Amino acid sequence: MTIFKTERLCETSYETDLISMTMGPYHASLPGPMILRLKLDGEMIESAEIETGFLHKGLEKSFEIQNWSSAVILADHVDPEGSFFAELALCSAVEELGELELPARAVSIRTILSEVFRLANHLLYFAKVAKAARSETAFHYVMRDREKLLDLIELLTGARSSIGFLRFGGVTADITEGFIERVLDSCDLLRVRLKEYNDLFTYNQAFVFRASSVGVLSRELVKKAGITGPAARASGLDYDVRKKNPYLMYSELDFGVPLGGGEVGTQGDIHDRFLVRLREIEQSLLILKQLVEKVPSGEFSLFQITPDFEVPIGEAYARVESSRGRLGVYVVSSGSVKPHRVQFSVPSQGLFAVVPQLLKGCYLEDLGLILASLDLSVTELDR
Amino acid sequence: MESKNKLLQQIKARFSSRVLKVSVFGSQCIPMVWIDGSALKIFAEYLIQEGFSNCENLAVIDLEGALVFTYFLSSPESGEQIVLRMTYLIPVSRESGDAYVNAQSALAFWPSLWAQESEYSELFGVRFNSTQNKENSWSLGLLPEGWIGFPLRKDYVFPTEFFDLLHMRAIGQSAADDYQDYSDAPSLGGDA
Repeated sequence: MTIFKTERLCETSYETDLISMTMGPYHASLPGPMILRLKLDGEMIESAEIETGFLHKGLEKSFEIQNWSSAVILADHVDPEGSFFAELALCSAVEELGELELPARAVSIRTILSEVFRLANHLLYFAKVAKAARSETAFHYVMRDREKLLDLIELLTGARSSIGFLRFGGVTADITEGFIERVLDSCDLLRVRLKEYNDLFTYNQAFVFRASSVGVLSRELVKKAGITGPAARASGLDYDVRKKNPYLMYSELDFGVPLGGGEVGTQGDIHDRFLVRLREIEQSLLILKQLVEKVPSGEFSLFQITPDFEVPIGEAYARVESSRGRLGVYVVSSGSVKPHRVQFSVPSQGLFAVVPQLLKGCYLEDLGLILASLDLSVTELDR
Repeated sequence: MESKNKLLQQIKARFSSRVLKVSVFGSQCIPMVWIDGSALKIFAEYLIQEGFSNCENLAVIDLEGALVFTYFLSSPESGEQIVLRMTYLIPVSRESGDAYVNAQSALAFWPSLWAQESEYSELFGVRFNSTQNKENSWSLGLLPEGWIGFPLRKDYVFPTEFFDLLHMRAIGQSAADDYQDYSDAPSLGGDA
């Protein structure tokens, strides 16, 4: 039985000398370059300390040095997996500053791409959790299906991950012929695959045994650490930026926000975090079906961005719901060709804060699965 | 809009002497209150009492010789938002060793700000006076040991070298300058 409370750790402690173990900066179980220092009592983690900052590349300073015309490309580097969300947040903030009214077609394209990226990232999360649970079959199946979504993204934007596709006032290119049909085909395929994933992995007894009541994130801890996104919703916190502060076309769409309920274990455990993402995949498929049925005609961009593009003096704050949680961008313009300040508030900041507490009292064998279930991104944390 | 005005009126009535300015933020006209940095505690306690228990973001910018702190607060129950803002002057003289800016920490009220306060203490040179026990199980060190200066400040000068390692390129230098020393290198494609 997995012990996850420190009181129970004391009752059944092996009473050995504590072993110090340092993992990182590179380790297969870690989400990226970071150091994890553990004190082990036999197989149980007595305490954990983390050290991050290895991937800091001075991104926010780079924004101030480059021109506004380069800002979208730089925003890709906040999180290469979910590059679209950082681009979208930045463009939303600048468009609010400049009081730009986007063409309806551009808004529709952005919303479609937002959900396709969300799907791709949730499938990647599935693959990471399956890998951590040593289910190679599920890992390969999901990565194979994720390729269909990456092909869609490449068809529209020309790239698979760091897309550099959005522009202030619209998008770089229009939807090509056949794109809508391929989106619908991919949605149909994923609907079938979701059932296969459930049969193969989600309710597989081996995974349920490892994931239920392990790595429980309580609602109080979620609020204290400021966690948002699927990890918070798995713990029962009903907050989704698409519902609370709607942007793009989300106010017109009919979709649900799944919450964790402790179906096979405890609310907020690994299995809940996994299930919430599976259900969000279902909701994203629903959203995409609604979107592609009514893509408006018209222009896809207001104007061409030139290197001497200037943003009016002022400041703005925009937030989007990325696949990990709320991604906020605060921009300040002094009226010149270079930004005065671009600051990102990323969901991984809250997630990393709870790692030491979550690992305390767990078995060492659960470490990889707990970290994978949180969906941490060292890249966006360090920037 | 009425509730936003009501909130601002309540704040002005209650803290008239500590409020420097009241205005709105952004196109959504979110109420914004400028206060003196030393008044953070009383405002934070009041706002938490009013339901603003969630701090979405703390943004710091270097503006004309001062650091402007902007707290984006929201109420999970009502969905209302408010922006709290304060300014700290950057000490002029670096030689005196007072390059750090001393600021009030908001960790006691919004613990989720720990990561951001740690970042700003390194990147902007801010010393937060917090009575809370800092989370010592997470070491968030963005800059290498021995790094001099605060990169996000506007007067920051990029170093040309760091521990005898040459910087990639100093700001203002062109890429062509990097190849000046290779004029005697053998040509790969033969004579042009």
